[in-house]
Amino acid sequence: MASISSNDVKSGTKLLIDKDPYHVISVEGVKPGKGQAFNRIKIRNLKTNRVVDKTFKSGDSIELADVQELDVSFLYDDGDTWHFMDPNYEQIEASKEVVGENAKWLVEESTCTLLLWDGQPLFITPENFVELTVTECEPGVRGDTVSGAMKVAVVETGAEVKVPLFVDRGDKLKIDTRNGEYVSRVKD
Amino acid sequence: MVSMYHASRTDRAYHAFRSQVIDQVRDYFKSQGVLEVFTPLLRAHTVTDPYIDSIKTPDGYLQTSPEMAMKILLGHGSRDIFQLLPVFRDEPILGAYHQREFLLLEWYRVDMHYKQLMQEVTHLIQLLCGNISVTCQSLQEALKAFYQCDLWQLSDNEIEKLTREHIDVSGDLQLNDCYDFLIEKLVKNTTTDLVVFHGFPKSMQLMSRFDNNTNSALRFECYLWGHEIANGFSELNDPIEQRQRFDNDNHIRQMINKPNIALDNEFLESLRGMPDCSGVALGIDRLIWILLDRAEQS
Repeated sequence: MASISSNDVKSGTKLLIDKDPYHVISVEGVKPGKGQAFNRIKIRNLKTNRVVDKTFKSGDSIELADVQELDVSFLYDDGDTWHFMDPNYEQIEASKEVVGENAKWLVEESTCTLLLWDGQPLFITPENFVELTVTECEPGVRGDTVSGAMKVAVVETGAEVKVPLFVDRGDKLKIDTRNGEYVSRVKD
Repeated sequence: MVSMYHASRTDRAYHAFRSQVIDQVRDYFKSQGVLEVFTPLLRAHTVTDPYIDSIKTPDGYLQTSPEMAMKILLGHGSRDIFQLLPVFRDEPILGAYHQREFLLLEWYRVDMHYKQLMQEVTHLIQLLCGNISVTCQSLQEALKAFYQCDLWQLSDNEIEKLTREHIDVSGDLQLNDCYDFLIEKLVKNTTTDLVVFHGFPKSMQLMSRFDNNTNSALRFECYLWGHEIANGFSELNDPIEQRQRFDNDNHIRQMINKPNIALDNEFLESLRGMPDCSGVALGIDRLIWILLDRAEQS
């Protein structure tokens, strides 16, 4: 397995530590005046998303994780398996666990980023903004664009989103997938 | 974030600020009757410290510190002396405050105990940094308060265990690595602007005198806003003991595959004539860079 000197690690490097893949968030080099230099590395576990600090002595070798990011488009799911197509028109299957919560932002042909670890899908990241149609909500209140009051709407993927009162069934909404918040109504 | 290191700045404002700090330093020492000296930047000998790498040229080593050259002057009758000079280190890691070349301030006070010198260093840093808060503590007490145990009573293995409990570190750990990690974490968790620790464990005595009564080396370290800024000692002037410490450094060097450093006999000889004194090195460029970054942030 390929490895890297702790001095060459940069933010974005993918490391394999205690058999788990990690994404490097930041690196800080420390050199005590008379002591041995070390690198303090802030890393995110790609399986659990947990962020930890690790300290490596200068020049220590660290294993690299074979992690690849692919832009894929979503094809369909059968409830257990989600099917995607990679840029070479090859189909990739991802399990329910891999897709997780993000399933609620996927509609056919939407693009997303699939992270592969040792060739296996690890997780998917939907686009930051998706456009989804409202399938259920209380009738819209005309003219109310300023009150700030919100209600819950269900969109075509089943996701529930808090929306302003004027939103109506059949409206297309722009939603931020990073926090699940309504951004705006999209005019066709 | 600093996009470019101050060290590579070419603008006049930077050089004007640097010059102003240097003037303040010179004015201070002149007012105290301390003589400015200039020792060679290129010498045939260099330090033996296992974790300080010198830059070697065909004609000798670029000096990593003026310590040996200034002690030779002290051994030949110089009294209080100071020096401002660029020093060179082959640093394994470069960063905003870690450069291969930087300006160092080093001074020696004859017949002064290291605790008195510690006061003077604190005073000078306050002079340069304005109104800053200071804590001054014995390292043993500070570590005891933070880690809830007296490291002076622990075995090397127990210290390594304590380190691994508090810091997620991989690979082998030498005793001094453990101390470095524990001290670094302690400093990072101290809110005072300037932290001064005095009294170090024997393995970190370097070129300081060792006090058997307190089982501590007569050494102090200053940390300015979390960054190591000055290191001082009651200076060892026993050539036999000093030679043993050099040999020990070379022994460690051999273990970590670093070249052996030939002993500087001129220096060892001069130690015989060196009066009791305390000395300190202060990273003046680092202090300037830290001040500039703080001014930028506020």
